Order: sequence, then structure tokens, then C-alpha cells
Amino acid sequence: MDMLIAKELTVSAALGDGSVPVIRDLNFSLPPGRILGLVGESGAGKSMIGRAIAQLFPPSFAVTHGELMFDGQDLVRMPAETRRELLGSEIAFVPQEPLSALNPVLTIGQQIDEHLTRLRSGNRRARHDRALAMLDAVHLSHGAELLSKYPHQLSGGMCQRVLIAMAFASRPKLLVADEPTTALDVTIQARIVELIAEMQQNARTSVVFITHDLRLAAQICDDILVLYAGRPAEYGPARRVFGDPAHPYTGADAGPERAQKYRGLSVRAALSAQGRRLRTRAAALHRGRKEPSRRLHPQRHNGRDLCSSRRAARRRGCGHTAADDRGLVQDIRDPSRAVCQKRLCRGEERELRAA
Amino acid sequence: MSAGQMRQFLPKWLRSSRVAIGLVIVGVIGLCAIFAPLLAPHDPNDQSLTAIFLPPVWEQGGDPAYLLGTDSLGRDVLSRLIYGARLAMLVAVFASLGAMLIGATLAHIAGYFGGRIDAWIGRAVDVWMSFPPVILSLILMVGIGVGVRNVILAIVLVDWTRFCRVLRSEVLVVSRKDYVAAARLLGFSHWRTITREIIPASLPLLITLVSLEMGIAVIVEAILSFVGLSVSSETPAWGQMIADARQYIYDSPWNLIFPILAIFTAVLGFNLLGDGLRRTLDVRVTETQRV
Amino acid sequence: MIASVLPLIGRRLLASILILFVVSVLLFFVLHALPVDPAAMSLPPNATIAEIEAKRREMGLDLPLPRQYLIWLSQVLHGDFGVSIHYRRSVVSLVAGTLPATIEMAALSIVIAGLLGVVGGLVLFHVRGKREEPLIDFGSILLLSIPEFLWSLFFILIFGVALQWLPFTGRLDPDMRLPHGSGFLLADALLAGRPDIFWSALKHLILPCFALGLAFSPTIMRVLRSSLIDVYHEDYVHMARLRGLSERRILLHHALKNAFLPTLSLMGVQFGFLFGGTLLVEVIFSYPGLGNLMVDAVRNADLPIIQLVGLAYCVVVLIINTVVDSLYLLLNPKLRQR
Repeated sequence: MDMLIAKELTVSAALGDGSVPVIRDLNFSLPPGRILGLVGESGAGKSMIGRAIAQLFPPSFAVTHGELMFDGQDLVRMPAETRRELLGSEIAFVPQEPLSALNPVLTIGQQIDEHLTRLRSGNRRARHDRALAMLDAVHLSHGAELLSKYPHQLSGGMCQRVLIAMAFASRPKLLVADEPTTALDVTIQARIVELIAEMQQNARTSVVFITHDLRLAAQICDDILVLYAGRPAEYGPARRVFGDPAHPYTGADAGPERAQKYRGLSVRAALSAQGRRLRTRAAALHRGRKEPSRRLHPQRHNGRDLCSSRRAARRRGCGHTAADDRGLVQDIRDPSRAVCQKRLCRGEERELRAA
Repeated sequence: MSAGQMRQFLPKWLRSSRVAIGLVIVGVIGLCAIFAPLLAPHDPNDQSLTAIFLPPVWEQGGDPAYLLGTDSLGRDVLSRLIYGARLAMLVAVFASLGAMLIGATLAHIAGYFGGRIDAWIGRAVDVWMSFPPVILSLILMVGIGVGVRNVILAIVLVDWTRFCRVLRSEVLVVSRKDYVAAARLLGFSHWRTITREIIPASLPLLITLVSLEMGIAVIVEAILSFVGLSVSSETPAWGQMIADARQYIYDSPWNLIFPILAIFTAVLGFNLLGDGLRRTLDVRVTETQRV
Repeated sequence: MIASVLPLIGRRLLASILILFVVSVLLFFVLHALPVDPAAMSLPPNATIAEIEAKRREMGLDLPLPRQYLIWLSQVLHGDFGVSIHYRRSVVSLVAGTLPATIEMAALSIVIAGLLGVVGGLVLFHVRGKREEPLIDFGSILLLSIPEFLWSLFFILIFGVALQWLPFTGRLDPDMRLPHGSGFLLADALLAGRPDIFWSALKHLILPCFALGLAFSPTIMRVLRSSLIDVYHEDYVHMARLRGLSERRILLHHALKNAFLPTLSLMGVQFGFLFGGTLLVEVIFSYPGLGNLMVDAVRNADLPIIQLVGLAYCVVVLIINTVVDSLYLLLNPKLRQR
């Protein structure tokens, strides 16, 4: 049974007398032991998914449509007490800013001890030993000294390791890592990501890895879900998404060869100036009060339509979806043409077999 | 039209219910102060030895001529309260304005120019504030003598530090903003920059502080007249009424209750006004948006 | 850990000496601007002008003010604070007899104010966003508007006169005598093994200390509430929730510890005001402390007492400020490592 399933999940913010959706019609499923990468720009709504799982929204945000199931349980409708039991034990989180995620007036040892007490890890002796073992597992040396230090005495990377240790302490079924490396030095980003992958393998945890950096996602993720302006733009196994992106946003402009060239780079780098204009417009609309009838203005990219008015996700038989409009699929190579879904899918399969 | 709808017609700062209640209270006391000779049924210093310790009219033995009763010398309590309002408002208004002028001026100079000037003014404020204000005002009254003008002066000399300290941090923040630098770059003089750019930003806090200070001034004046160091015994003062009534607490507890209520109501009015204004005038929203 | 506080204390000591110096100068000059003639005050009413003049010369009042100040200063540095004009006793002995009483009252009051403030602040914080909030907030403004001397009178009326539950004059029951000791009655009574004196002293302290405590608690409540609100915006609170900790645990173990630091700072500032407030409370309750001594001295224009008492108040406030700042330094881990 899949660990985390989202069905047409929609999260909206109440603004004035209307509501603006920040995530729209999200569908994905995460099997046990797999890592799903959630990629997108700032404002694309990825952090909202983390909040949706915890059901800890900022004021005036809420799930307005759809379902979110964790291990068969409805996360949105379950009573608060049950959910609180899950948090920290079966569902764990790794935050974006490690230094401010720890209480500045308590020592690391006190905070780990509190967490272990909550997990009912035995008496004080047992908890102390367990804490040392946890720090060892995340490759932090001098564990005993570390326990008596305060967060501001540690570096960002060390704090993040502590937080990762605390997250995996309960061998959670699901881990949500919300941009865990954004606040860290580039030099240690890769190592932290590898650490997460290592801990994940030991604990067989399903991971939702939220990031804006496609390169980092490519490092460890099994599946990728690309978000654009709150909507799923691309979803599928990592290799496919990077190798043959269906949505222009993911693969910039057309063509598998182009996509190949851009694979591994961040989405930002892959887009041209026009794409940047698109993004700004999308962000401005996000902040707007009305639900725009046209999500994005039609843009031309190298003479081709990048998108048009209404959007609806369609699942293609090959497990690889791309957002389209008017129920038809745009031909990536020649977007001025709209072809029937089935034909394009079959054509794609032929190409893949040839490659 | 419901009350909520009517609210829209009021200027923004008036919409808070606190401001409204505060204004009403302050207004009533102000009217008492201004129209005291017209409102008071008796001369406040009129003694009547046949009618001492009369209870209020609703108690047994009360006399409708003396609505709130009389004190130990037969003076009408209501009239003394009304005339006491005059002294209280006088001191409140002038003392807080005076303290505001000195404190705000020094605060703006310190915050705007910074550096050595700020350090010296800050030190002066620290020395001043290392002294409990009650003690200081007492000592000042000993030094400069009694009388209304001296009371106002004493309060001004003691409380300007409160204005200075609070406003200085505000002015510091505003002075570092870009639009102030822009004004200077455009060639505005210091004077013009301060009056045109900075004061409008610190004005809401200033108004709030003035209102709160009026409440504090009423209290300080009451304390001083309680101790007998405020005005001569000719002038009715709420604090003095309390001091008198305290001696005869078993004979007539009402004489103690009314001036207490008067002081409390006045201070409450100023505090409500100040607090309400703080919420409505502050453009940067505070934690609760509630009124 | 203590070592980190020493530099702060050292700096404060130097600054305090300077402040005391300035204050003493100001006090001296303000008081000597009096129209009252201390020489005439210290002689019987039928003294002749010649006798008054002689007294003036004896007291050094004919010298220019700055010289008078220096004479006074040198006397002070030798420990001679002069003799009270009214009581004809040394000023130091008078102050020493009354200072402990005031400190005892102030200490108990600040404890009460702190407890009430923390509880009230938690309540204020708990009701935020709920329907009861405007009402309770209004209540806190109501509390704010009642100064300590109104509370005192109020308590006297209700608990002293109407209900007659508690005494409201003096430090002890009239038939009891002060035990020998430091002057801190509660401690002295316990050490002398006299529980009856202890209870009597405590009963006499209840009304004045609650009056002071209630008067100064609303500010503490409001500061604690706003600090808690600020703390709740921090990341670690959100993280604690994500770890499944209960709201209660987050409030009491995480948020309160962080929000307490600015509140402590404020309590230090408030103590200065509270100590000044003891003056009036002592007058109202006829409590034989420093405040009553001061008011009598003011009424009698007894300058030596006024000067020393003024300095005494200043010293106490400076000590309290230093203690509070040191405590802040000790409690805040971020500032400790220097």
C-alpha cells in the first residue's frame, strides 16, 4: 500500500472575499521506501505540501478540495490528537533553516532527550546512550560534548545533521525534507543529501524531498514531481523526467536533445528570458486577488505556444503526465499542433524504444 | 443602519471603541474642569459645621442639597470633586505637553544626529531614570516650593525622560530609512528633514505617549497633594480629599471612595484613549488587529 | 559562568559611582535652593537673630554653595552623614533603622508582581484570538489604571475597615516588640524562634505588598504576552509542533523560557518604580520605613535626612539594575560565551 497518496489535492488561501489556490489538483502516490522529489520555483507551492501533510497551515490557508492519505489514513479529516501522535513518530520533518529550528536556550542534549522521551525510549540512561548512537549515525564526532552545547555554537551543517538524527530516531514511515540544504553552504549540500539517502535506506522510509534545485533532486530521487504555479507540470520516474520532459517548463524549449543538454541543471538556468517573464507574471497573478480566468498569458517561445488558457492534468498511459489544455496534448516538437493523446503516447514509446 | 455600518463614516482613528470610551471620559472630565463654576452646586471651600459627614443622598441621613455628602468640614463633596477635576486637567494637559516638548525634542536630536550627542543625552536620561520618579518629584517640590506652576514644572522635569527614551528608539529607526536619506540628498536642511520626514512618522507614538502621560500626571499630582506638597489647601484637589478622608475613614468611608473613583476614572480614560490610539494610529499592525 | 558577569559588574560599579556623584550634586543644589532656613528650623522659635546667625555660621551655611557641597562630600566620605535637624539623631542610624523594612516590603511585592504578571501574561496569551480576548484585554487596561496608592486605599476600605480581616497600620501588632537583628522582621523572627512575631509581621505585609504587586503586574503581563507572541513566530516553535509536542509543552518548556528574558529586563526597570511606590504605600499604611521617614523629613525640611534618603533610593535602584542585568547575562546562553 502506498505510503502517501494525494488525489486532486487543492490548497487555497482566503483573500478578501475570494480564495486563491496555491496548489491545484495535485495527484501523486509515494510507495514505501521510495524518494519523491518535489521541484519547483519559489511560490510554486511546494512548501505547502509539507504543511498539508502536517496540517499546520498559516492562518487563512486550508485544503479546499481533494484528499491526502497517509498509510491509508485521511490526513485532512483525522482528529487533531491522532495526527499529533503521528507527527514526530511516523511522520518526520527536516526543516529549511537548521539553526533557527532548534530552541536557542536549550542544549542539543536537552532537545534530543525531550524528543526521545516523547518516543518513550526508556529511562535516562537508555535515552542518553540512544542519543549518542543517533549522533554517531549521522557522522557527528564527539557526541558527548555536542550534547551539552547550544545550537548557536554549532554550524548550520551540524545542526542539520542533528535534526536529521532526530527525524530518523523513530524510524518514521514518511519523512518530509523541506529544502533541507537551501540554507547551507554549497559544499556541504551534497553531503547532507547523501546522508538523508543513507538514513533512508537503513530505515526504509518514504521521503518527500522538496527543493528548487533539480540537480540535488537528481542525486537521490526515484520519482520527480515538478510544480509550476501551483499545478503539477511533470510527474514521473526521475530518469524519464530528466531524459524526456514533456512540459516546456521542465525541459525549456522542446526536443529531447535540448532536454538532454539541460538535464542536471537547475530549472532556472534552463529557461530563457521569456521564460523568466512568464514566471514573474505567474507570481504576480498568485498575489492577485481574483482567480484569473487565464492562468498565464499565452507566451511565445521561439515561435511556439508554451501554454494556453485552461489546464487539466491528464494521465498518459506511459505513467508520464504533462499538463495540457483543452483536453488535448501539445506536440512538444511542434506545439502549434495539437494531437490526440493516444497517438502521441504511442509515438513516444516508439522513440524511447529506438533510443 | 447598524453600528458597524456607521463606523465607516468615522475617521479611522476614531473607530476603536477604546478611543471612543476614552474620549467620552476625558471629555466629561474636561467639561467639569472648564465649566466648574457652572456645574458645581456649592462653593467647594464653603464650610458648614452643622452639616459635617453627611452621607450621599441615597443613604439614610443624606441631604439632596449635598448629593454626594460632605466632608469633615462640611464642604460639599460633589463640588470639590468638580473643582478637583479642574486642577487635575490643568496639571495633566500642561505637564504632559511640557514633558513631551522637552522629551521629544531631545529624543529627535539624539536619534537623528546619533553619535556623541546621542551618547550624552542617553547618559543624562540614564542618570535621571536611576531615581524613582516619586522620590524625585517629592524632592523637587521641596526644592522649588508649592503651587500649581511648580507641580507642573516638577512633573515635566521628572517625566521628560520617559518620552525621550521611548521616542528615541523610534526616531533611530525612522532616521535610518531611505526616504530620510533621500530628503537629505535633495538638499533639505536638518530642520526641514526632521519636521517634514521624521516627525510625521513618530507622531502616532507621540500622541499615544501624551495621552498616557496625562494619566500619569494625574496620579503624580494626586500623590503630591496627598502628601500635602502640591497646592495650597485653598484649592480643592482629589489627593487632598483622600488625605483628609483617610483620617476619618470610620466616620465616612464615602468621602474616601469618591475621590478614589474620580482618580481611577480619569486615569482609565487617558489609558483607554492612549491604548486605543496606539492601535489605530500605528500603521504597522500590532499583534492583535482587534479593536 | 560567574566569571562572565564580573566585567559587567565592574563597569556598572564605576558608572554607579559617577551617577551617585552627579545625583548628590543635583540633590544638594536643589535642596539648598529652598526658601527655608535650616538654621532657624533647628533652634527654638524664640531664638534671636544673633543666635540664628551664629547657628548659620556653625552649620557653615554662610559659605558659598559649592564649598558647602565639598564640605558635605568630605564628611560623607568619612561616613558622617550629619545629624537630623528634627530628630537630633545621626541620619545614618535613622536610615539604617528604616531601610530594612522598606526592602522587605519591596522584595515581597516584586515577587507577588512577578507571579501575578507571569500568570496573567499566560492567561492573556492563551485567550488571544478567542472571543474573551477583548474583555480580558480591557480588564488588563483597567488594572493598569489603578496606581498602588489607590489599591492601598481600596484594600484598607475593604479588608481593613469593612471586613476587618487584616491589619493596616504599622509592622507588628501594637503589643509586640521588634526582635533584635538585621531589621528584616521575617528573617529575624524566624531566627529568634518567635513564630507569633513572624505571623504578625506577615499579616501586616499582606495588604501593602499586594497593593504594590497588583499595581505593577499589568505591565509585566502585557510584556510577557507580547514576547510570547513574538516567540511563537519563531521556527523552533513550528518545528516543535512538527515533532508532535503538545501545545502545553511548547508553551511552558520552549516558549516561556525564551519569552521570559525580555520580561525579566522589564521587571528590573519596574523595580525602580516599585521601590519609589513604597513611599506612598508606607504613608498610607503608616508603615515605619524609608518612605515615611522621607515624607516626615520633607514636611520638616530636614535636609540631611532628605539627602541621605535620596541617595539611598538611588543606590538601591542601581544595585537592582545591576543584579537584573547580570541575571539576564547569565540566563541568556547566547551572551554567555564572551
